[in-house]
Amino acid sequence: MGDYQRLKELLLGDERAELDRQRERLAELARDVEHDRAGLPRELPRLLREAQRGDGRDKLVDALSAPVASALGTAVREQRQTIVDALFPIIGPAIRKAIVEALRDFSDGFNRALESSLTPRGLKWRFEAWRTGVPYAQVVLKNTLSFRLDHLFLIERDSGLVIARESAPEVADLDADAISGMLTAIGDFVRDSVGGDAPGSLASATVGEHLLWVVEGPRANLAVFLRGVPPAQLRLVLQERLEQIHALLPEAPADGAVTLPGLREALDLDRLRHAAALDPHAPPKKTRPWPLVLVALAIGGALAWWLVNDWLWARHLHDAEKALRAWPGVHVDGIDGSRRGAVVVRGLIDPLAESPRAALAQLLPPDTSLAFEWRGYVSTDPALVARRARQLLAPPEGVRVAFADGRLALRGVAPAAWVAAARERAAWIPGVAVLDLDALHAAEDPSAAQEAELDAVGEALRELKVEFVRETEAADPAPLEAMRAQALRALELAAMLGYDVRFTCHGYNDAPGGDVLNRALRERRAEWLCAELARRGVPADRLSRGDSVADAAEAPTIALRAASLRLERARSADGK
Amino acid sequence: MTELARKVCMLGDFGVGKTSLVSRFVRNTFSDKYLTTVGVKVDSKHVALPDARTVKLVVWDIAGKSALDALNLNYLRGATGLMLVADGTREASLRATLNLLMQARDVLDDPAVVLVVNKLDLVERWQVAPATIAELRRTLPVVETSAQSGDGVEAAFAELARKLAA
Ligand SMILES: Nc1nc2c(ncn2[C@@H]2O[C@H](COP(=O)(O)OP(=O)(O)O)[C@@H](O)[C@H]2O)c(=O)[nH]1
Ligand SMILES: [Mg+2]
Repeated sequence: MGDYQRLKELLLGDERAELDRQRERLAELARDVEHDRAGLPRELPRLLREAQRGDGRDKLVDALSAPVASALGTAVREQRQTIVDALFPIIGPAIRKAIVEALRDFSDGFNRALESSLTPRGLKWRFEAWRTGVPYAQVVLKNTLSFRLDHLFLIERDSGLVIARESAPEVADLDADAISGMLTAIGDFVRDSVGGDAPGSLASATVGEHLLWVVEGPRANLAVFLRGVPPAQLRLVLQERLEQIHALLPEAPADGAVTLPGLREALDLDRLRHAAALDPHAPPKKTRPWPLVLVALAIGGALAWWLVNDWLWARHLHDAEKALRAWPGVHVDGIDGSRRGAVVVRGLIDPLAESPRAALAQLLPPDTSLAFEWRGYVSTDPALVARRARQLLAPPEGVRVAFADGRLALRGVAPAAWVAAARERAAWIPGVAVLDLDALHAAEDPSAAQEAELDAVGEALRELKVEFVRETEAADPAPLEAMRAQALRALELAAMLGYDVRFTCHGYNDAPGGDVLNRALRERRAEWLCAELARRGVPADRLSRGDSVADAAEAPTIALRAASLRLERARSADGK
Repeated sequence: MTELARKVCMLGDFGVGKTSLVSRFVRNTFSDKYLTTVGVKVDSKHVALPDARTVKLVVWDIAGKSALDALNLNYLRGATGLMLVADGTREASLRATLNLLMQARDVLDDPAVVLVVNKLDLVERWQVAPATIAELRRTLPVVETSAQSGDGVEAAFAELARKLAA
């Protein structure tokens, strides 16, 4: 203190000495006046008590009521903060109670207005209200308002220092002290610039979806950073928390951040959120059973109707999807049938593929809108590869195109130029792995016709089969005759062309019967065929029994009681 | 762990370099624009104490005036430290600063104070005599600084932090 005195003297020197002298004189004068009245304060309480005797009290009240009222008025005007601070613990709950009542009236009205709404959403909320016992209006409010708490600062009112803070884990950290300092300063600034000595301060600020709420108390404020649309309830909850916190705060000014038992809980963001979503003051609602039963029945009926329709729609979709997946030249990425009555197909389509639209339209309910979102691609589906080969090669009449298992086979007779071009081009066709041109002959080749005929004989044999009534009793001798004729013709052609030709006999059986028995039966049928043909003039050394195990690719198609002949040829050893 | 935080106000005549000193000292949370719009800017910085504790200084920079009006007195509320700033090249700024201290002491209860005489880089033009500074040192810690070169800035705030934590 002495130091500051010296500082002042350094600055003010003589002026200060004069000032002190004047101050001393004033004090002396005041002392004189005081002296006369010195006894009064001591006497005043006794005098007041005496004045209340008899009808004195009424007179005193009469006399004082006007000045006390004016004094209160002046105090409210000029020392409002002191009065507000004194009344804070009373006013807060009182106001809150009034607001809660008002809100409840409002929500009751709201409730009635919404009572009759039977939209699916309304029904869902009504169900939720029924399930949880929370009034319907509040469920509506809760579902329509969504918000999140980012930060909550408890700020010492005078210094603007942060006493405690809570932040949501996923939001960026803030310099809480600087921010709450600025908030306090801005609050003061707003009050100073617009309010004069009016109480209150910055209560909220909004920037886009970001919202700042300040809830004020006598010694500390709560600043909340939020996003979204908070329910009005939240402000009440915050106000309540702030009152709790005031009860916890020590009398002495907080020394920066403090740890107070119960403070964390009062500030917990999740609890606040939860508290704001529910109205703790509302009594549990008595549920009226009849409207509920009706509503439940309506919901049940609607649900059943909806489920059946949904199930039917799902089946249609399933069928459509199956058809699409099997459609040649189409690759399906997804079928969107989430909106009933409309199907959107996304995927790839080969330009040569046929549109599946008509086929799908048949599988779906009549009014279904059908949209495709296609992108082009090159399909390796056998049907598409064959189609592509036909388009690219443009085979003349007399040439047949077959494609299976990556093998493109061209058979027949065609002009040499076309054969040469095809030989070149065919290997480039997407999807073709192996090229089989053994049976393709140039028309200019003198033996082309014979080659083609030999190929045709091989094909014809493949088509022929002898069917059995039972065991090896042939149903009709005609196929056997035809086989014999073809085989003999093949031998003639082979001799001309210099091929070595052999025939294999195969036997088949239909489904019933044990494995061992059936196998024996197949062998007997194959042997029977060889013997019959030999008897009819086909050289026996050219006939042999084929593999008795019918090969997998053919078995299902000729799974009946039959025998057939296969032609195999190779360049003969003398290589003519 | 409870953190020690203290509110510190910059006090001094217009143009003495308060804002420059704060900018030197802290990382800026807010743009200086706040100073002209709101009249105040708040920044914070942790300062290590000799005994290995740290104190967080929350520094309020007030748009400079030579007298504190009601508005600025509000900003002082709750401050426990004052950084007085004078401009060495202007003797009058020293007097103004000390006047501000007297006014501030009416609202604040025994604040920690450090006096900074700024613009040390212009020392050849200083009007404040070394004798005056020596005299002031008997009452207050006085640190000569240059916000421009940074000389003495850390030391001045460190001294204030030390007094605040004492
Ligand atoms: N040469 C010099 N100029 C300074 C120094 N500190 C501040 N200034 C200049 O003084 C002027 C006023 O500074 P400012 O920080 O705005 O002062 P404030 O009004 O007290 O905040 C500016 O032009 C600064 O560049 C210093 O240490 N040396
Ligand atoms: Mg400035």
